[in-house]
Amino acid sequence: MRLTDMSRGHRRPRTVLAVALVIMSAAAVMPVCAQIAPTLLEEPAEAPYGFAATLHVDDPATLRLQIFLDYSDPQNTYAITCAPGEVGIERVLDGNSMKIGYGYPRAEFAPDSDLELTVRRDGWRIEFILDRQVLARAWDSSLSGGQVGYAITGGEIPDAMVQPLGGVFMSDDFMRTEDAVSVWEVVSGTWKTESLRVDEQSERMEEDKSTNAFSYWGKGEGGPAISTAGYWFWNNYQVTAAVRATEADPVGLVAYLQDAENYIAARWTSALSEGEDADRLQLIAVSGGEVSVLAESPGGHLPGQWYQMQLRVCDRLIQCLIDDEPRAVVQADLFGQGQPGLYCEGRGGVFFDSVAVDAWEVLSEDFETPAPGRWVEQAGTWQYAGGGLASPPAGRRVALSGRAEWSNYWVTSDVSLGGAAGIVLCADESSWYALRFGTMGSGTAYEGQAQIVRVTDGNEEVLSSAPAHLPGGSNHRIRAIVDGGLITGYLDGKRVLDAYDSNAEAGRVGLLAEGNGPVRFDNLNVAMIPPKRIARVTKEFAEDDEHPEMAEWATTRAPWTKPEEEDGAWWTKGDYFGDKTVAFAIPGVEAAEGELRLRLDAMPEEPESGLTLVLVTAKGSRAITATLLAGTETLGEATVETSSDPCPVRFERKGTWVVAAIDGKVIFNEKR
Amino acid sequence: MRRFIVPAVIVTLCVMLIATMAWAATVKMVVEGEDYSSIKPSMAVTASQGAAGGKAIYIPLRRPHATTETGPGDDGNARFKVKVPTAGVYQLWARTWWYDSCGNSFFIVVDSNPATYIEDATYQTWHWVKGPKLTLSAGEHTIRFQNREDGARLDQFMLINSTRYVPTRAETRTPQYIVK
Repeated sequence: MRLTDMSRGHRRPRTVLAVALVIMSAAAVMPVCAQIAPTLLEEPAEAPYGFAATLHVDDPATLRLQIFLDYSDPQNTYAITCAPGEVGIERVLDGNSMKIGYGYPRAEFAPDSDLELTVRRDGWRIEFILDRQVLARAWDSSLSGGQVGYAITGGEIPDAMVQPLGGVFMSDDFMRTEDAVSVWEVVSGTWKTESLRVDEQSERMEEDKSTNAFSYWGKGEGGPAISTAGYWFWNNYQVTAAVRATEADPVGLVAYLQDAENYIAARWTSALSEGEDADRLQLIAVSGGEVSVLAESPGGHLPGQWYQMQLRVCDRLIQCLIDDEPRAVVQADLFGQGQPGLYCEGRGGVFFDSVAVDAWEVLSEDFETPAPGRWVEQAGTWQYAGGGLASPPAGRRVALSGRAEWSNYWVTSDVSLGGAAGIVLCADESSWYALRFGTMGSGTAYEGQAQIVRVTDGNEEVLSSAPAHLPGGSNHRIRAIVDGGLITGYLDGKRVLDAYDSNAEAGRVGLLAEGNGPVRFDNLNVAMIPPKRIARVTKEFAEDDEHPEMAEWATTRAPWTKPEEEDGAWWTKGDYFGDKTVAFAIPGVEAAEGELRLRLDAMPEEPESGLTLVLVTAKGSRAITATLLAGTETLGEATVETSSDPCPVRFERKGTWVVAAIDGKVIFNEKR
Repeated sequence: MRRFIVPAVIVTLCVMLIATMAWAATVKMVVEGEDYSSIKPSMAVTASQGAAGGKAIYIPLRRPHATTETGPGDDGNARFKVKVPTAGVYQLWARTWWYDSCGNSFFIVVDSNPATYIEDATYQTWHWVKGPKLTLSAGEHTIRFQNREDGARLDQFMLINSTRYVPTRAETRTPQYIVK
């Protein structure tokens, strides 16, 4: 593969000679390496990073740009090629070149024009964004490290730089005075920090009953009002905010903001609005000031009511949730990156609070557009067919995707079961887990069963199984969740089985096909499970006298019921259904003497109900003796020699399993 | 043909000159919190996980923790001297860790200019906060980070004459611009 001298087209001899002289005269004073290799940037390129530059087009007819990522030498690099009518990403590994991902070529370039370009590399994804459009995407983890460079004819790259991408995170509770420094930049409309909310409660002079009197307020002035934070290179994120419209005006959130006339937004109109677009949630794209509705769903907001809005963007997926409920979704390749923001219209004014922007990563596959490299065959043959990813019968077939560091996620897919099939989880070089279904007639040993298995160096161990009589040729929706060691399998929306293995933490996702008969997957989605909400124990056990001014304003006395007798149990007032974790740390185990009882799924009026973890420490010893009880029945006993100080303890309900861990070691793992 | 040669060479040299100037014009000065030329209590050095080199400077948390931003109990500060190679407008960035909404700012005083301050609302994690744009002459300048709220930490600060570059993780220290 040639890295330089990529000029094209035919010109008159004199012009050709002049161009040659230009090149020769330039070569005379340029370093030798520049004549035989791409221009490489000196800055290190540690993923995630972006290559950001201006592409100056001199002559569209001869324009040909190549950008090299993770470049070690010409035989080992990613190469992005862009020319009129051509765009693509190649992986060159040990001299073997392979096109990966997909692209949308740009047909025309204007002479003497400047276009902003960014190439993003996050260790798995590669995205080429030119002039605010995603022109190519690919997914590959074969190469990492190395340098970034480029080669160009018919134009120039005058200002290349490597932009570290880092994590996406910001939050704002607006707890500051109205004239304080703010991270928000007003793009349009009027925006200000409100240090005392104007509402019915505050009018009654009862602001002390509010847990938070601070918010951000905006209003439109003949057009949308937008305020933005974050940075131009942010992508794959979710922006969350509490919103409350004073009147029946549209409210919203913004993603991938480029400027006042280019962005994506979730726009939510009021149920009480009299406008033509009343009572709906829209996902809109504003490009060059032109608004297009990408998707919409019925149901508007009510003035005066607080809601939580969330706008999510990742790859081509755009999604909006209201109060955690997905309400609108669409796929579109727009902008590829940009700032998050807040949006409102009308003169009534809209309050925003508790704004957070977090990384949001999903894998959303309809398999309509082949993207070589995104799925890697580990065993057998896989091919894009009939709008899905299919595998003909030939023993065990496995295809992997995603990132090795993915942890705590769910995978959902439609599957056409000619043979046995399933979902692979937590895959690394030598081991993986799978939820699989032994379709009738598949010829597998597990026909008629759903199983969760662990495969290590080719050795298979069944962790859990349940009946599942699925006829050959049937279509189903299967779902697997891995969350902190718990793997749960679903079939057509119903929970079928689960298994716990503390090693099932992180790894790539995959598709599995086994036995006789073809298998085809479609509409596959992978999403990360958000961190669990935490109810912290504070007031009674922490700084009781340090914040007297806060005691009246935001007491934390409410969540816990104080025992009547001195040695009685503290009970939470709330009922915690489903999976839950009690996590804390014991300081100075060696100096501690006593007994601690933790209770899950129990009731205060029945002290022996539920599950109990009893921890006993003895002075002068770093050992903790633990006993797990179900009612009065002893399920297990163990003694752990601890080394950490403070020593972490976790007591968890995980699906049908009860798990206890001390000092990072799982000591009880019981199906109960 | 000769009429093409001279313009071609001139154009080439101009392009290369402009390119050289463009490359030379990017200046990034990265200073660690521990690179101060002087430090006044209550500002102090502390070990801090996630900070570059494992250390940062900070205003120790007081008891009771400050509940007002207007009257810091002391003027603890750290002074830094930087040698600016090229006059220009520099964006100040600070890599900070804020305790909470009452411990999330530093005063900044550049040379003898009026004090300004940096602040945002991202707590309990190291992150970069965008500060003011500074017009600096070539030569030595003093930058002072001063107590405004207790519980605030500073790992690094950066001066860069690019408006597009945004730091996202700990940067490599640039000792050539630091005057001790």
